[in-house]
Amino acid sequence: MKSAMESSDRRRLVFLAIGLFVFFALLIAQFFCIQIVQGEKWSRVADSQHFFIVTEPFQRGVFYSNTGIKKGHTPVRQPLVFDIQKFHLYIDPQSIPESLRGEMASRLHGAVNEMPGVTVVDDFAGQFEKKSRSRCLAMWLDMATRQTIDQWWQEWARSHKVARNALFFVSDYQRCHPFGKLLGQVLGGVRDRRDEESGQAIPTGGLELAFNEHLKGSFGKRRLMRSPRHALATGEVIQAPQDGADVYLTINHHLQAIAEEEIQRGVEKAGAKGGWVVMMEPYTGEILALAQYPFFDPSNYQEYYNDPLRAQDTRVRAVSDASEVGSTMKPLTLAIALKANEERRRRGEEPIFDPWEKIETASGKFPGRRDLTDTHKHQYLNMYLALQKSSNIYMARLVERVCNALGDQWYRQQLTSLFGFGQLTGFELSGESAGLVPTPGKRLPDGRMEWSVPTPFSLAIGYNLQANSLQLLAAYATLANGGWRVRPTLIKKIVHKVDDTDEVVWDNAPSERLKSSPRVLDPYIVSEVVTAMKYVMKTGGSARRANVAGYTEAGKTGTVRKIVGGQYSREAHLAFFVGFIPVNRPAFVMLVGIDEPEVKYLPGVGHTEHASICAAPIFKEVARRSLEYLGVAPDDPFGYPPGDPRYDPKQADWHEEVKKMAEVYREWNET
Amino acid sequence: MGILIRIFICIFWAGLILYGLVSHQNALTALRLEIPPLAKEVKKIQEDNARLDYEIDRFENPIHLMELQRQPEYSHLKHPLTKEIIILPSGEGAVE
Repeated sequence: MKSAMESSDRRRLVFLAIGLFVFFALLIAQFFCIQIVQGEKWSRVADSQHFFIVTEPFQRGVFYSNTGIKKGHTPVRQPLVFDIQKFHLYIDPQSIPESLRGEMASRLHGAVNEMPGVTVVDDFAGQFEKKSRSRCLAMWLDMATRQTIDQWWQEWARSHKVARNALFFVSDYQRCHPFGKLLGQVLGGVRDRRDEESGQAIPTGGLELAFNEHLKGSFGKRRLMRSPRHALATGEVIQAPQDGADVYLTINHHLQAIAEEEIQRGVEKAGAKGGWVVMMEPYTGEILALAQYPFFDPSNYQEYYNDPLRAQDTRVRAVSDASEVGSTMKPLTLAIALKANEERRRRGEEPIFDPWEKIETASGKFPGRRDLTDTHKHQYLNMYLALQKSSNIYMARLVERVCNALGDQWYRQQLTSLFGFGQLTGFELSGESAGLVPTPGKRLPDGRMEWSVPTPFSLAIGYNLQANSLQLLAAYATLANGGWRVRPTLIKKIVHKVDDTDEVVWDNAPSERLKSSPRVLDPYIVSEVVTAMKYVMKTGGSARRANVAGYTEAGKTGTVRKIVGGQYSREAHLAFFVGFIPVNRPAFVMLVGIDEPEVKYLPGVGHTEHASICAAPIFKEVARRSLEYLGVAPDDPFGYPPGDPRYDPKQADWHEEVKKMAEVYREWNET
Repeated sequence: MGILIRIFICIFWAGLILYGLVSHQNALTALRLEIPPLAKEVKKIQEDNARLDYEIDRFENPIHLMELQRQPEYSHLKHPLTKEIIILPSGEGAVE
């Protein structure tokens, strides 16, 4: 009996032990499954409950001015745009009771409406009725406005028992231009709203568009703990925000301001539609200033792009507009003629002309076209007088000799290979027009030949070809720098900041760039042409109004009729002046362009649409102020107007030469 | 009795060391708690600096400076000629 009881107890004990063993084994198996097999999954769930990811904004790359231009002055980093932290005002309409929406909308509208720089959405009150958890009410609030609204909201939400997160702010960076409209067309701007998918700014044009790939940054990610009161750390950086690369320009903001002030003044005085000034360093091709009037303010881009007329003011006309260049071609024609002399000598033949040769210019008969005329009739001219008087007939005679001696193709090739006409300069702004040089043998759409018998005579005086201002300026830079072809550029370098170190992404150093710049003109040719250009700037020349007292300068005016309705217009002109100063070691070469100056005749002054009246004085003022800013000493210390105590005709530069040339003219033309 | 005293002394020293450790950890935790608001303040100051730099540049806008230059009280200011500027190499003749 006793043993039977003990045996059944033992059996129960075994079953209990097995049961407990199975229970704990299952528990351990479950622990193993949760902890080991599904460990990663549950860690992720835990992380998502304990941590959250915040996106960290980046700053778009910055444009910097060229402040190293003044010798002896320490360059400082001067940004032309800033990314300033601003805030967008959002609401969660679903969290706001209907009865309170009206009052809340009214209070908020009063706080943000008509605040400078703040963009308020249309249908402000209507946003409160949307079935959404996030509606934007206003953009680009500054910190002070945000704090004011926040202070009011905390109190109001508490007293009306509204969830605090029914109103929130989103931080953003706004592109701000401290100098306003300065360099507006060149810099371009960005739109108010970012791209929704990528969060990147959307450029509207200019350098913002051209260098968008470099200027873009990338958002950062930071992991923060969900702690009701305190976070023990600033969070783990998963991905650091990467700011965009900075672009260092060749433009100096002081020279730009001078050019903008003077072009506005000049255009208004000329009663013109618009105008532009481009300044270039002749030895490196670096653009020092690129001013255009009417101006473009990138901060108010909507006003321009919503108006078809004002939209024209957003493009950089010096780059995008190609036109006939008129008499500004004549110094280049002389250079080609002198190069023809060189070519003839190389072939063992006689040169085609001598700069001092007395060439007959009374008759303007040329094959295939109606008679060419000069503004005044001249019997005989030499090269220097021809440029001083801007004689069309002399230039055409020279080119006639060039083509007769060396052929049309040779002449055309000089226009493209010496000066780059008809080819893109490779300028960094988009929309550059390559211009046009007619091609022998090529037909126009109407079947006529692009190059016909009279074409060279038109080319000689700057007609029948199209060039943009940069091409013309680069051609004059060749004359200014002693015969080297340079490529215009706006960029010095592009730098990416990575972990507090500067990584140069693109170095546009002159030393590298100029290795591919050939010498295209001999020093003798340059010297002769520049000598002729100096006569243009003195008494008897068309550009004496561009003469800067105390300095030597060389340049040429050009006035072109615009083509309107397929015909040359008598009412619409383009007026150009291109020149450089001082003549020896020029500080800059500058082009002034005036679009449609008012056409009228002023007694004692002349035709106001002529470049000598409307464009040349702008060159003088920009050059005078720029040379003063750069600290360039006068190189003609006696070359001041009569009446000035510094004036001394015996010692003033080019005074005797001009007198002698005037005597030659009188001898040839008035006896 | 001697053993009891020794045990008591060991426990006392262990307690002291533990107290020191915990106190040190508390101090570290207090410092860590201060980091986020300080970091936020540093960021705020950086943003304020950027905004102030912007305001300064707006005032020092070259157009505005040129307007100031035309006023009689600033008319005596001139840009120096480059030939009037003497450039001293750094490091030579520097006064400590």
